[in-house]
Amino acid sequence: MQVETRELENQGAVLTFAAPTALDATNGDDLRERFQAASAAYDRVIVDCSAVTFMDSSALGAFVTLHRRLIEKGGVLRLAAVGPSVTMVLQMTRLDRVFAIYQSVAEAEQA
Amino acid sequence: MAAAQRRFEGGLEQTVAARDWIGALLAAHGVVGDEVDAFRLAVTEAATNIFRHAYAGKIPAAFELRVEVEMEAVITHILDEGQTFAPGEVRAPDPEALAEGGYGLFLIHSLMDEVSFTPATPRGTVLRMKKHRRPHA
Repeated sequence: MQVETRELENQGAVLTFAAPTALDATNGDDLRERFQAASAAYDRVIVDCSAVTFMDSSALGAFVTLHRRLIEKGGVLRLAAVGPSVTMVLQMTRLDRVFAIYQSVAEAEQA
Repeated sequence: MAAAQRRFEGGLEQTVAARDWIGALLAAHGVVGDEVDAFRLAVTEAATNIFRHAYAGKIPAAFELRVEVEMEAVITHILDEGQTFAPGEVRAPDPEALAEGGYGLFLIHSLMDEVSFTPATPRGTVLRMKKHRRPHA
């Protein structure tokens, strides 16, 4: 899994999946480790989901944990450029009401 | 009507193989995109549960995926030979609870019109999933 991190001002960062990526149980441990590192290092995390082609419940759990960890330290998670397959999962679980979702990374940065 | 079946054996990567296989199969038989996506996700969730629970992470694990594509519905059977799995009532997770797990079975039930788990003989489980197809010209 290739994830690029771009730091922002005020303890922020944008995490971008660098290649088309299916997030599932096969790479769930890797995803959780990367999210854990991000939540430890930054308060404001934007995840650029534009290259995420698939997401299952394993990956969904990793996103929820990242969100919870950031909230616990007074931070925030923002999801950007969420595609149809990810949207389907978020809507069915009603987590689209919990996560802050933006059309683009630029919008998420300005929010 | 078309029918196909395939056995998958190995580690967690077989969940990806099963997802790719059913996705290609349904697309080749004219099933529309979001209905294909529903089966790709439901089969991934089911296969992952088989590896994690029926076989408790022990590999190689094995399951067979049978698919029937009918004019009005797609029906799948997933058969494993692991620990028999009989889930109780599946409730919608509370999104505000921010639980890390507990979404997989709920997703399967949300994606499909019919879901049933039946004990297999001499061991294992048969998961049957059916989804009606939207009428199309």
